[in-house]
Amino acid sequence: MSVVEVSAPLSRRRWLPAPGARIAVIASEVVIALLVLCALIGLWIVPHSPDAIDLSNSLGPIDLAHPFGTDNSGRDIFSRIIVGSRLSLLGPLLVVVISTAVGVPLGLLAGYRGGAVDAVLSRLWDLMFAFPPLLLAIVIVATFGAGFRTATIAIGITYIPLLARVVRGVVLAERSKPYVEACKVQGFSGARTALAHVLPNVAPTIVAQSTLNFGYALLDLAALAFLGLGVQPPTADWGAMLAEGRDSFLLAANEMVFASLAITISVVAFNVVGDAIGQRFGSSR
Amino acid sequence: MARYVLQRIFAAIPLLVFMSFVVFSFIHLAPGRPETLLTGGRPVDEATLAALRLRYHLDQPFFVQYVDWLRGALRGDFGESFAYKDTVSSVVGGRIAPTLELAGFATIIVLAAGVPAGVLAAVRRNSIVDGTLSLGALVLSSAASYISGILLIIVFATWLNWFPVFGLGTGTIDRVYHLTLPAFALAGSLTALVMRVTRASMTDVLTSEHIETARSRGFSEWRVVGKHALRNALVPVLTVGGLAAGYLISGAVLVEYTFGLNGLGSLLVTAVLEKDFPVVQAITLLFTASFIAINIVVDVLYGIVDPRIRLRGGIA
Repeated sequence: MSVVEVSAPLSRRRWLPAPGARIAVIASEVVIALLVLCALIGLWIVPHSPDAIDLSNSLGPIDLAHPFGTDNSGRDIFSRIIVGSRLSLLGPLLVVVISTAVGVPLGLLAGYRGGAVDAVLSRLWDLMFAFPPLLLAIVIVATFGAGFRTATIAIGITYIPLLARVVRGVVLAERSKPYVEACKVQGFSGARTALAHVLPNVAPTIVAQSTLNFGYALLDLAALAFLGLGVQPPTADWGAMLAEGRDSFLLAANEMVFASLAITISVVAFNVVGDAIGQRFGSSR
Repeated sequence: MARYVLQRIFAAIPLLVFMSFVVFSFIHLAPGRPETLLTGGRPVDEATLAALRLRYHLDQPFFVQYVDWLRGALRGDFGESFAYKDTVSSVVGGRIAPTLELAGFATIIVLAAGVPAGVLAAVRRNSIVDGTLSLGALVLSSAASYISGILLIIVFATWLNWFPVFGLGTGTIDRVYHLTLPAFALAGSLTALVMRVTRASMTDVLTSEHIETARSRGFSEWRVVGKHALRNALVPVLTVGGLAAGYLISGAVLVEYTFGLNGLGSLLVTAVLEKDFPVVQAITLLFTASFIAINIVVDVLYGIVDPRIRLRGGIA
């Protein structure tokens, strides 16, 4: 007799940290909540306009009016970091949306169908893995021109095989479980079994991987902007701020230090939470 | 073994041709005509334009252009740079050495720091030492090479004045001195990765039976860890070799740009911004070829270290 495993409903409660959860996870979740808040309402709560130029106060020091100092054009760095969170988080979000929208169906198809479909799809992303990471994105940007849109699409494309391969792996493991057999015995169609029964069970892995990808995408997009290939100055964006700060950072490093900190803290937070989700559901990576 | 290596190299050739074709088509898709780039947007007469087209083979149909480029590439002739008025081979060739030196230096740091730290964390697992090392690895793995680079410059070059900020220096010793900060920046996240993998595999090995046996025979802890455990623990570390190659290449682009080093990476960024397509094409080919080559070497090493793994021909 085979026991049908009931897929655990992903209730809201399970996503919140358990009482014994490590401080790092809670801290990271607080950081992410604050980041989202900054991205949503930052524009209305900042002390200065992020684009207000004051050339008399170029590269100003840290003081009460400007907690992080001012940049080369005398703009308030604190306000620019807060407002910059909007584009800096929107980019990775779009990357996750693109890679999930294409990568999950492909991975599900390859893992569940197997056979020739799997062979063809696996070759396809092996081909994409033959490119060093970031290089493909740089070539795409070289072709279609620098900017937020091109950079986001380019990074999104490079994350598709990454997610597809992970999904394929867990679906493959899931397929041999008794409940899939039970679905078959009941005469469910392949599509119904895959979408209604297998997909919910691999969802935690997808969420965990996408959370990690969000952090990596944030780094990659900031890297492209730093190279002058992503978001263009004077737009307030952490990567673009690195690019701008590069010209004057030997005189005053504030802009680069705070933009670097914002990027690094966000990435650590997303890494920690991604790992925690993966571990909680016993399906790390 | 030799057969396997040959198989892999032959499998890599169509891949490289495919890749170069993709990049070539991308460049063809690019908005704006290459002639406009060559003339710098200045109005020129029809005769000059025709001469330029002839010189850069722009008068041919797309596919003929590609085959011409491929024929040349096989002979080591990658055409002429749009921006430098020189052959691509000489523009790119002069930039290879600094990138190789940077990557080599970084690899040494990764192995010399990552493996011992991982072993130490595994031997003293769940202690304060382990906790500190693991936390350090977490932070380090999240700090991208360009960000560590920026912070290293600020602390060690501008505040403390211990290292130069930019450039490559002259002479061997000066070169090593100039490459120290960039190499550490490039090595950072990889060191963390190697440390984590070493710790995990070392932990597995240290709790296995043959280590218990070695201990029960009264061997010193030093000998147990160093001789019996480490050899087995290093096999999984090799698996990150391919990943490491990717990190080193994309990291080199960013680190060279950060530190103003005249290597392949910074040349790629300049070429992309100037739309110097022949140079972009050559560098992407070079990077992809080295990426595939490192992956082959890693797989071969894997087979040598662990003979239980049977090598089969793969796609790359």
